[in-house]
Amino acid sequence: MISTNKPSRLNKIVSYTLLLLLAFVILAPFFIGIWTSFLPTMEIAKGNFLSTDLSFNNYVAAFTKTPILRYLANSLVVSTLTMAAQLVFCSMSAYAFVFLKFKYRNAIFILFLITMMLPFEAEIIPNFTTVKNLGMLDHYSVLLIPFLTSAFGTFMLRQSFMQTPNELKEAADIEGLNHFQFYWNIVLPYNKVSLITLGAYSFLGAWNQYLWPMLTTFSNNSRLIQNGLRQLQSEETFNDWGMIQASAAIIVIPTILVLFIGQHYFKSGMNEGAVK
Amino acid sequence: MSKRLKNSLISLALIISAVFVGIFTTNNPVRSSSSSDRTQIVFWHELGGASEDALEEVVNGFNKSQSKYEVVPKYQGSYDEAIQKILQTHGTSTSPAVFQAFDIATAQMIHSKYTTPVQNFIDKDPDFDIEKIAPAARSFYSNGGKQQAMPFNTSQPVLYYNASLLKKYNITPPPVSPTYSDITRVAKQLYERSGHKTKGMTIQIYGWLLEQATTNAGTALANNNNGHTGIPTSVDMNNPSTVKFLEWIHENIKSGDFINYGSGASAGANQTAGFLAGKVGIFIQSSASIGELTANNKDKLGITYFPHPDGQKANGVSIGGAALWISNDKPKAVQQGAYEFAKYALSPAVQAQWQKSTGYLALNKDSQKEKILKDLYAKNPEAKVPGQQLADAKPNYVNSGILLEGMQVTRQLEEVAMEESYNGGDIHKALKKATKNVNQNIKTSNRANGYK
Repeated sequence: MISTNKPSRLNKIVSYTLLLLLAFVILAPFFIGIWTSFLPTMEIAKGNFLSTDLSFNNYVAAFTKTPILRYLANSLVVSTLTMAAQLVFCSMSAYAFVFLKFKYRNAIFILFLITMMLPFEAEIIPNFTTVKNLGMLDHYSVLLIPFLTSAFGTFMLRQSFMQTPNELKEAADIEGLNHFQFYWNIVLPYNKVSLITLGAYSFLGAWNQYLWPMLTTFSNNSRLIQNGLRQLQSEETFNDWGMIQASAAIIVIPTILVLFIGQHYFKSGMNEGAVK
Repeated sequence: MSKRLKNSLISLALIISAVFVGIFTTNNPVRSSSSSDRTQIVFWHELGGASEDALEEVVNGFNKSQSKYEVVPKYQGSYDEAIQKILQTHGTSTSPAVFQAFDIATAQMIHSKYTTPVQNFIDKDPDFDIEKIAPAARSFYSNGGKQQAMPFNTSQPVLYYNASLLKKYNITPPPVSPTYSDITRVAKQLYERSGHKTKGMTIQIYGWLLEQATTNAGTALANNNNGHTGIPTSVDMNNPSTVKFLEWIHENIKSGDFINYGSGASAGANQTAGFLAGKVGIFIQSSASIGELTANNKDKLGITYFPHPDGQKANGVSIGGAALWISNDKPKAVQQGAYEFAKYALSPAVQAQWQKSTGYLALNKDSQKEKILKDLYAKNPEAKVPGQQLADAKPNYVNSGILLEGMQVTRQLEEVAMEESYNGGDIHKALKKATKNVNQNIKTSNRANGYK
């Protein structure tokens, strides 16, 4: 008994030490960032991170001196709408690729996939010209319309929908459900986990956008949060590092919330069985 | 299907339909509301943080000073990003009437032919005396005898030293226009007398500093007089002036009093941190950093001109920063308004306040008589030095900047050469390689632009 217990205990100690070490490596920069957001700028500029002169002054400055709240609201609206639209359109197109039989289905799907092969940055010049000619520059629509759907979302949901048991489709056919009823009442609830994953993914994708909004928006009213963070920094002159760090900390909060909520649903989704 | 999910899906669908209605019914750009009887002058700038607040003060001052025009400032990201946006949106309704473009984009802006030279407006304006503006700043943005753009936020590289540390170790401070050996002496003494606790000096691996050292020694890097009399077709990095600069650094690296903070944006922040914490005594940086170095700094700050080689006179360094350009795609009245704004921004009182709140130099000679600057100098006498350096420089082709397109790439290649030499590599070899690569890039870029 003792002889078998010992190696497993040692095993546990080793693996926990390793996990703690890795957790430290990953979390340390994050906590240093949070810590510095409470320090006065001069201490940060000097590299004196062990200072105990902590206060909320930086946060007060970030909220009162900068339009960061406006940027947060812009980002929240754009990210939520992008997420919602991607969920609807991607799930519909994925449904079509899995459950509808039509000519050239695979060829069209491959066309979808091809668009994934080019990174967005490579398409930025033609896309910019297009939105410029459509007169969409410096408007919310330029931040939304190009991102209403994504090939990746369709691809991911298609893989997930393909796992839906054929018995469900057959049962639905016997019950006399039409396509929309089957999509709405069976396919979507059954693939809840994938939908939530895609939702979190597209929300964070929109939240973290930098290059596109930087190029296509020109005024504070339509500026998104990541560009707003860049705006807090000046080129050569004095930088209020404490306030910038506090703003960065504020910006991270929604990201963490989305991840935690997503994770919670992810777990509960795994435990539910749809087929008996 | 759970009720909750169903409900959320329904609300989701509702939101989306609401958005579509929203987008397609209100398809007009998001703009700040304003009184409409004034002519709107859209102004694109790249100043973030504290300098943006100072800039908004200038704009508000202009809007209050008259009732014909209204300037609308809009932040556009970094200098580099903004250039592309300006070039790509030219001729559309979103393009700016007046914009800020940084020093090394000057050649690109002139060649684009998208701007109206400010000289055209100055010639018609009896009230404005261009002679009042610092000549070194003016010559940087003029071409073919015409003022192309109005110099605006302007800085110069200066040498900062920790005056308190020098006093503590009883070291004679360097003269106001030091030679390389003056600086070497101070750096060595500081390193020795502090018991090797404080490094003497650092010079960031930054192409701008290499260019300025060459300029200050009176040598042009690019042919056709640094591009002022024709489009440059080649550069020569492996010249005696650049070599002397790198040899000077080599000497200090060998004696151990030099600390290398590397290259890139974090290098700048790290060397500032090192200087403020008293880990290094001397460094060279833009004069616009003065605010960061004096705010809450317990140590006294010393400032000198950019150092020059021994046995010759300093030629003067060129300016950094950015200028105001007027787009030619807007109606005459709007362009005139843009000019009025630029003129206001350079008036003595505005420039004096501008120097105080940002650290950029006041370009109008009369600003020095303003109370704001007099008070500033009384409090920090060393704050006078960068402005003196600017006033001392007699403009010539060498110290009026390099009118070369693709300066961003050139700087990267210069930095590679500096890095190689800092790491103990052969100076001539590193500079020869940089020359070859820069020339290759100039050739490609000239061919792509269709310059013979």
